[in-house]
Amino acid sequence: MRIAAAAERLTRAWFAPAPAERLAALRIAIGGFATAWLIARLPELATIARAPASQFAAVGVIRVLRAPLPPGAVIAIAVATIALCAACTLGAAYRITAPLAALGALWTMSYRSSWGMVFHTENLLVLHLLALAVAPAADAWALGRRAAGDRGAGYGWAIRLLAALTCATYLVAGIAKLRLSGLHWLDGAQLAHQIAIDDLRKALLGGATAPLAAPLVAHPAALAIASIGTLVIELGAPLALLGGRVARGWAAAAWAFHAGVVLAMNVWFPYPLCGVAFLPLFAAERLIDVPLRGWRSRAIPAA
Amino acid sequence: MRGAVAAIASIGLCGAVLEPVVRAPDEPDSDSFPLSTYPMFAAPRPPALTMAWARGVAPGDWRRLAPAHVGTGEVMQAFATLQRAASGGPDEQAALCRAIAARVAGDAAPGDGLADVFAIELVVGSYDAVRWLAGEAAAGAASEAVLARCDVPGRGTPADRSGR
Repeated sequence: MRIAAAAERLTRAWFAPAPAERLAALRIAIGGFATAWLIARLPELATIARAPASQFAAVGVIRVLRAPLPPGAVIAIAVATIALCAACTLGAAYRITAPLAALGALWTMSYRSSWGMVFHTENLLVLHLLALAVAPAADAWALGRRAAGDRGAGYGWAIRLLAALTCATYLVAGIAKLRLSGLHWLDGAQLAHQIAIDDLRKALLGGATAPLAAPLVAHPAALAIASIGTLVIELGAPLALLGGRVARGWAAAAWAFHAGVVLAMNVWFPYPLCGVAFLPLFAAERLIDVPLRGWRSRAIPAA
Repeated sequence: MRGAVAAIASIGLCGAVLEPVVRAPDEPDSDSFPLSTYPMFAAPRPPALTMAWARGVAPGDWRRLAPAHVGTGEVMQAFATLQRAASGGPDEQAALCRAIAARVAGDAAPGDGLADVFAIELVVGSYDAVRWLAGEAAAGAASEAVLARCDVPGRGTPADRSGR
């Protein structure tokens, strides 16, 4: 009986109404980021596409391939995905472009990760694109938009799904630390070793090293605090789904964690660092609505 | 109907993202994309690091190369390429060495100060990363061995250049 009541409460909260503009703002932010990210990664994809087949180590959906694709096909898929992501961002022919953009991004980013290094920086972006692909995210602020019909399930569930995916990825990362290192992860020594090894690898391979790596490794107490903080943020991620101040506080802490990772390890997670990953926890429509109203009030002065 | 689609999508995607929790994160190939066990930085590891890397040999010194010379813009992909070659046979190591030498000759990363590099070495070394980071580079390097060495095309050796 209690389980049934809890399930009903959860269902009601999950499907609680939300404005179409909020989901549209998320479509624009996530789709826009994906478009820019794929454009920025094109030169690297072109290099990878010409790598020797012996280096090919397929992950995810790429496991359907037994050998790498011809370079031209890799680039063609990536360019088509960029065009689809741009169309999806604008909301053009959304029911077609959004699923194709999500599948294209899944393929292209999985292919990028199929050469010996899985880029965890792109996981959440792909998951968000897949969620947007099944959501009615082009009922507002979309090119060639028709009047929305009956949206039985509304828009709130899709926004909550995007937020839940953000929180779930952090939770899984926190659980992995506990499963692999247990409470030893909290003493700071593990983090010191990780930072030092990462820095040495980058130094020997000609990459840019982190500005705070050496001073942090020299101060284990600071790293113990950082270790505890990391685990609290990751395991506490589901609390952000409560919304309000808890969500704002968690998003700020998670952003600070990523900024700390840049300073300590020079590892960049652009999607959360630019804030898009956390937008589903906020009233995202204000990012577009407020400037839009300001522009309108200037363009059409009051009589 | 739309409610059912929303429910299936919500449960399916959230379930898929949480599914790696029941996988063993330390098993090889347990990580994937985009459904990850997030093993990076999670496993306990000692400060000792044994890794293969490539360096440019210059007169009386060596030069650090860029990931672009290994054939990628990403440090960690360069790392994976070098470790794979190191664990392969001499032929694979020599082939990678020659490919790097060709890129250095063609100046794959302009302005990198590699004009005096006349040879490439593929090295495997063991290091104490914490001591190395503390500025004890010599103490941090426990051992190093050259796996492969090859000339940079068109550069000659220092002896050639001095006319000896």
